[in-house]
Amino acid sequence: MSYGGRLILLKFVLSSLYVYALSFFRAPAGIISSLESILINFFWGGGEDHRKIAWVDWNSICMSKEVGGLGVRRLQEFNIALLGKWCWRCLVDREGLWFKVLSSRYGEHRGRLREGGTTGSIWWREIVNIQNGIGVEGGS
Amino acid sequence: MVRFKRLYDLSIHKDVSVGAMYALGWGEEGDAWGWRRRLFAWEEELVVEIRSLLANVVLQDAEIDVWLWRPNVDDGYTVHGVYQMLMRQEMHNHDVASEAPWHKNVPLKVSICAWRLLRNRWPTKDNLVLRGVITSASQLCVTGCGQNENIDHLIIHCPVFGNTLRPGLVYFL
Repeated sequence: MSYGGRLILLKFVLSSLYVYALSFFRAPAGIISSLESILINFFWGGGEDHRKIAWVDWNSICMSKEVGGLGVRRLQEFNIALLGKWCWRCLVDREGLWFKVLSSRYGEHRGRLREGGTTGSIWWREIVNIQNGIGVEGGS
Repeated sequence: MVRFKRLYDLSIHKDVSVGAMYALGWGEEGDAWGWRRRLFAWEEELVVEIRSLLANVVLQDAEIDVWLWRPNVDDGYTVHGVYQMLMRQEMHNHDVASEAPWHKNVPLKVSICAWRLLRNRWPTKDNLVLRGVITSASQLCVTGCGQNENIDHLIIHCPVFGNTLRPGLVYFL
């Protein structure tokens, strides 16, 4: 397969496989780097048991085409953007059953869901962290 | 908010919304200004300042409150938009390379080849030496012209390859 074929497969198939998981959970840094390492190896033509030279560093590949990259999605930023959508929906999409569940579990205070502190589920604590800009470079 | 934190600390209306404060009245004798204790002189000055800021603010009774996503007020929060925003922050840490030749009539594999060329990432012999694939003893150009093979030599200066490749590369460069 050519570089072009592998790039298409990488951008539109491999990068989409984990969208659902990333839209719910914060991927640990270790998982992100091992996933990316598989993608990098695939793009440069390596296989399961052998590696090839990565001629261009991954960060550059992930830049958009306008600034000289190939426009592949970066997992960490994509993960944060997907999870941030939950924070937004907590504010604007208050009719759903999911919101009612959260509301009765954590309660509301001045029109916003309570953070719940350490009693929150792991999932909710991650969402609260994203909301407060913790672990998000450059703030919320 | 940060500027008037002191006033907020002293207010008896901490849980009241902006709309309700407006209804109470935030003019000179407005009921919105209720304090837990008498204010000091410098705190009174803050009140004067905030009142002058609020003097021209008129709330519409008919409008209901909505949340705005300030980076993109029109579309609100979109995953695509926020991803772009995060990547723009990331971009500042990188050298912005020249625009690569993406053109829809050119096969993608050819574009990628040119993209690598513009970044000097072809497997030329000098690049292979850098990465330890071959030894520096064997980096002479295969045409026997006696020079080391690097990207400039290969596509421009080399008497054999330079003349062959140049017409095709003119398109990209």
